[in-house]
Amino acid sequence: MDGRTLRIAINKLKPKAALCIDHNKSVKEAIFLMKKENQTCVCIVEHEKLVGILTERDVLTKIVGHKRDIIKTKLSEVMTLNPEYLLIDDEVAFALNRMHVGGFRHIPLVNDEGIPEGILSVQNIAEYLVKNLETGKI
Amino acid sequence: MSDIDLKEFEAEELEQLEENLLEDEEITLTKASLQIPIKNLGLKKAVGVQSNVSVQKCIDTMLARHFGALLVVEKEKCVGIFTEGDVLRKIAGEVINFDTTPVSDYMTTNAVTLRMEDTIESALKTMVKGNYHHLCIVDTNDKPLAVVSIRDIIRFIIDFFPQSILNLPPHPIRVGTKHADGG
Repeated sequence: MDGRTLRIAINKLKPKAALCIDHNKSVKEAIFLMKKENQTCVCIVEHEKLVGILTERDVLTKIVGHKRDIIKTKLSEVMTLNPEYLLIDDEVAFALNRMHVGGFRHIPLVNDEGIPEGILSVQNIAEYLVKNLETGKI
Repeated sequence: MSDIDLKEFEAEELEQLEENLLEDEEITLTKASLQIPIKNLGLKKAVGVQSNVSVQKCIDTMLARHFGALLVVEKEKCVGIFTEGDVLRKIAGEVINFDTTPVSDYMTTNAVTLRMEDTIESALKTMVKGNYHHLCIVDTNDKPLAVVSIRDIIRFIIDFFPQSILNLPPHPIRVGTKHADGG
């Protein structure tokens, strides 16, 4: 496997569909949505467009760790505002770059209108590597 | 040579230059590259907590030390792992007295453990198979030594491709997009 393998489009890694919730909803609603859908990241939207994300790390560091009232706290108060995003057709190398440089585990994927379409996680990258190992491409 | 030919020539030349850079500075990732032991990842020493320590103390430790997982020990043996995933799935939004509840009530028991001598490939495959973000590394007596995270492994792999991953332009070149990247 060489650097050229990383030039494939992110959609080849089969990222999960984006789990979205409106920015005016409470933290409680976001947490219950994440639990129900068994996801570790939710995209926060305003008029359908991506404005933030909330990850399991944020739940620990900004909510549970600070004993915030999850019913009264709005998502807009704790989300990561204006997260780095990519398009689903961008190269995997850019996702790895963002993960490495920014320390992100999730990259929201949006369409041309800024509407979330998917979430690329570090787990997707690991799955891709294992698939390459199993098919003899590594 | 027309303008169109000139542009094509430049594009080809750039592509060739890029190819040369790839060949010069990058090492190909092979199966053998992943056969080296986990200990080569330069992991931080494990932070272990006793199983009767409160959930609050564990959360405070995770925040103070920027850890996503703690190893839970009893009589010096690893009996579980407490991760930010456990916090989301089992604690967030629930009515729990963090100060009086021991971490053993919410840790993940029967956590998969590996040894420092196991390969990076085995850690990667174990994580993908079990959908784990963290694995406990123990010695032959099950004493915790370190935690390996999925990011440790991805970081190791990224180091093989400095040219392709780290030396990228700030934004992907896209045709016909209406929005700049980032923000």
